[in-house]
Amino acid sequence: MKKARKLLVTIALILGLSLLLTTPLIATGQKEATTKVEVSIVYGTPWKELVEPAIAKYEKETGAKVKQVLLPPGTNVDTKVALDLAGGVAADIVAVDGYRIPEFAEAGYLLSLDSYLKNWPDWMYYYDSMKKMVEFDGKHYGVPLDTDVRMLWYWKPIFKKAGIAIPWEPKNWDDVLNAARKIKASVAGVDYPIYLPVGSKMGEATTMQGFYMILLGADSPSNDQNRLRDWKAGKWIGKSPAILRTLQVYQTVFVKDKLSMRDIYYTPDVWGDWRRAMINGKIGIGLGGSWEFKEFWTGAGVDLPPVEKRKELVGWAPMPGSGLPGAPAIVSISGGWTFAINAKAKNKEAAFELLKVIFTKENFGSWVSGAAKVSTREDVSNMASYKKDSYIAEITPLVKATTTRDTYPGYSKVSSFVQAATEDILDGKSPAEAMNSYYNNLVSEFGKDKVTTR
Amino acid sequence: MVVGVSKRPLIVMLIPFFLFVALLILCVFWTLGISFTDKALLGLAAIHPKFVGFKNYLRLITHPDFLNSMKVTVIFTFSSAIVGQCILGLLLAVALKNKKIRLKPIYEIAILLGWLLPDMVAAFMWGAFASGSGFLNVVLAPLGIKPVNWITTKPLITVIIANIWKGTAWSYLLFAAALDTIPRELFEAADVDGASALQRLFYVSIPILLPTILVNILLVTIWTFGYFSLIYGMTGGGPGHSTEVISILMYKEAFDSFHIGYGSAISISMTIMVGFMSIFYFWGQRRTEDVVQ
Amino acid sequence: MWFNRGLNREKISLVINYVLLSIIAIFWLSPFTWLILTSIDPHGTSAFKLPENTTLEHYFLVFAGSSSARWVLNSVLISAGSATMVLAVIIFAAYPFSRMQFRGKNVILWGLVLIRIIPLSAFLLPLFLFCVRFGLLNPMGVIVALSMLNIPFGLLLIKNFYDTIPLTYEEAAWVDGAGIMKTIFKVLLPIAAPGAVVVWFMTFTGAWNEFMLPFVLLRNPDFWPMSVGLYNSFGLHGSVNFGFLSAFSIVYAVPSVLVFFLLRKNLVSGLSGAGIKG
Repeated sequence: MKKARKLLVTIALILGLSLLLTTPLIATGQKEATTKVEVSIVYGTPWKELVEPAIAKYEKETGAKVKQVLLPPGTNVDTKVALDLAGGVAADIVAVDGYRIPEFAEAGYLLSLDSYLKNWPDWMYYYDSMKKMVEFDGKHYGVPLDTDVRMLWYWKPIFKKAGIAIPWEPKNWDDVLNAARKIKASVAGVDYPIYLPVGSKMGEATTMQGFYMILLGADSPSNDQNRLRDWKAGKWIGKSPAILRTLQVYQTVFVKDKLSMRDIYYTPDVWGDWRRAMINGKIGIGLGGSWEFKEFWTGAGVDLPPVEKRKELVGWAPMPGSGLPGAPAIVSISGGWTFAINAKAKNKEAAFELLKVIFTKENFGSWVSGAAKVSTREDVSNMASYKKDSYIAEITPLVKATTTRDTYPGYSKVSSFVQAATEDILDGKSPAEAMNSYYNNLVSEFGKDKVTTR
Repeated sequence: MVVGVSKRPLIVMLIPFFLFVALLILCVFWTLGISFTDKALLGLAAIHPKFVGFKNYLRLITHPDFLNSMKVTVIFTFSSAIVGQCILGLLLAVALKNKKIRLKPIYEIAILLGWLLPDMVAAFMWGAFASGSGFLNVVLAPLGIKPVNWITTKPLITVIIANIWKGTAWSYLLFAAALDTIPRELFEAADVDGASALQRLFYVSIPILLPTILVNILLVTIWTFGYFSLIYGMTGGGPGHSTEVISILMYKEAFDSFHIGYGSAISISMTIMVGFMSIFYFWGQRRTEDVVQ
Repeated sequence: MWFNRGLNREKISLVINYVLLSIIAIFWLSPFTWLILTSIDPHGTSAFKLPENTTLEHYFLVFAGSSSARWVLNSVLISAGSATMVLAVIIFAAYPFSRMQFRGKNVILWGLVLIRIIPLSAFLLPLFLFCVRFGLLNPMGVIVALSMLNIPFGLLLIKNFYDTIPLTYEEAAWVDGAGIMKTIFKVLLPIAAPGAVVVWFMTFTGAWNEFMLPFVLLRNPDFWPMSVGLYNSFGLHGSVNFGFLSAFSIVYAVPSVLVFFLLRKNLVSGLSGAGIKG
């Protein structure tokens, strides 16, 4: 009997070992709970420089404590935040990609900010396109963090070799494709006469930098002919001349004229590879975002050359429309992240107070100017430090021509179907076939009554 | 049953096990239940999921992506796990069994290192290794092979080779350990009979290892069928859908499009498929046992 | 004559063996060249090149932040914790599966193993909700989840080990007055020890590898393991700092390699014969 008891003690000890191993962790966790946390915030590293000074200031001014979780750069912020919200354990302030605002809001996860924004004088300075980005069913659910525009980048040394005039000013799709054809024919070693994001590995970039940039110029903007959603009818557009034309451009680039290899759209490091390909002279023309003026170098792991040197090497042109009657002359599309407040936040007022400190003209303005981001609000756009940047000044016309995505609940699904359609082209399907399976995907997702054809 | 000893103390110790199994079964039933709804992570369906019956399953069998991913998964599993890892692991075990081979530890470490490497690291290493400017092309250049990015030109073959590279060590270890249990006399007897290395392999090693080989085939099939991180890190399922195995399709549905219901239906179908395969396996195993006896 | 021919044949086969083994070894090791070179190259990229000059700065960077040491510690705790937990559960659970006859025993055993086909991402949401409900959004929750996932295979393996132990051993212990616990510890476990080592190690490396679970379950960056920390090698807008990534990867991989070689002898005996069979 004694022996048995002794044994049981041993077993208990062994069983307790796994617990013991983790007690230091749990202990730290409990210590955390005793210090009073007033506001919590979860976001990704790109906004570290914007948020951290504001947190310091906020804590100093109010004596409150802010608990921040900075998610590592390669991780999926959306997934983490969506799961947290679904489990009811999200931080008070969360970073949400602007295009997902409607879906987050529809699930009831986000707090409508209108009553707070009404009393916040800075809100009036935000551009309408930005306000629209955070809007769902007439209510606003976030404060825009940053935005961008998209354009055609080109590598000037290649253009010189190909004998294309600089500054390059393409007027329609043919100008763009012909430039790529000329590069392919006359400059050796350019694997990507034109770099057009394709396929699901590039994710949302395929939809925005690639598909939308063509689609928007493929037809007249009236009556949503150049879009993915018919807003008046409240239906997704499954088939349209614009979608067909867009897929035809993909076919020309990847299949018919082979104006781009496929390699760098499918590597573990798609972003770094595209930038390295650019600055190593492997890309003639590339569809990319406004942030690339810096990222071509920093994102490729190379020291950033001075602005003048960069301008000698890389140029940009607005993406032209197709040239068909009614199509816009230039197009661009913008996205951007936002800060939203968890509908179940414990202290909503304090959370919004922190947002106000983050988005003061000084704090936000100095960050936007320093990071070469595109401003989301007029007062900051007029700041001397912002205007001083000649590159930013140059892209301002695009900011006026830009639009946002067809962000309605279900958009992320639509976007994945778009990516699949471009992949169909790579697989050798015809544009009509690819559009057909795109249409079928939409129907099976949303039902026939929610999908229209043009 | 056995007499004379009380099993009561054991029952207490089984409680944690039952709790874990309950959790596992809970997860399975949750997945099964959700697969009949349109549950999503965002949007209206996140808070008010609707029962949709077999809609997700019906959609699966008419979904070209799913049929494609089944094909890719079967090819990937068969060639990388069953053919690649098992056969190569067996050959290596037999070759290194030869006492005359020196440097055995070096060969072993070479095979084992990749296995011990975290998947994400391996994916990056292979991304670099097989890229246009990678080491693989440096090696292949003298053979007159033009440098290409192997991940995009031969995606499926590349991920299959990468998985053979990654996983062979397990089969090797298992077979090497099993070979250690074969009495030396058997090999010596074969030597006296003048058997060649190949004859020894086919007439001595394989018959004795057969039970281990069969179980290993089942194990690596189970593990490879749902394998995710290496392929996802290397290609993300592309280019096109050329390396999109079922687990990647499932992940994309559940966490890129946040379609939990449909993703769950994919998982359940996967399990049913492998379940059927295993039934055939056990049936076949019983048959071979009967024949042996 | 006959003797000579035999010797030649053996020599030839030995040479062929060597050549093939060396080719395989070189092929197997070659992907590592990039990892190692890039980790000491100040301007490393995804391309293979010999560095013009070398540096250890990436390694310094890996250890510079106080976070890295923490991440290593967290990884060790989570991995060793899960592995130990799995063992603590299955050394008892395997007993009835080995010693008692009940209907559907094999179906249950293999059924549990089969469940593991379901990709972890399918279980992510139920596991997450479970952990929310029971206050397990901490390393303990990660350990519970990882243990749950690794128990089936471990159970199968240990059960097979128990199967090889003749009942007479146990009966002898009972005659000496030992209870069931003592029998398991004194009679069964010593024989199954190598199998236990295999289970422990497989769970350990599996946990060491796991990214999604800790990323989703843990609230506090102080608890992150290295698999989550690895993602700090990714730069803004997604491009990768390859020097840091490769240095971090090497630091990340070393512990599981070390553990393997520490346990190597036991692992090999654990894998032989008894454990892996139908």
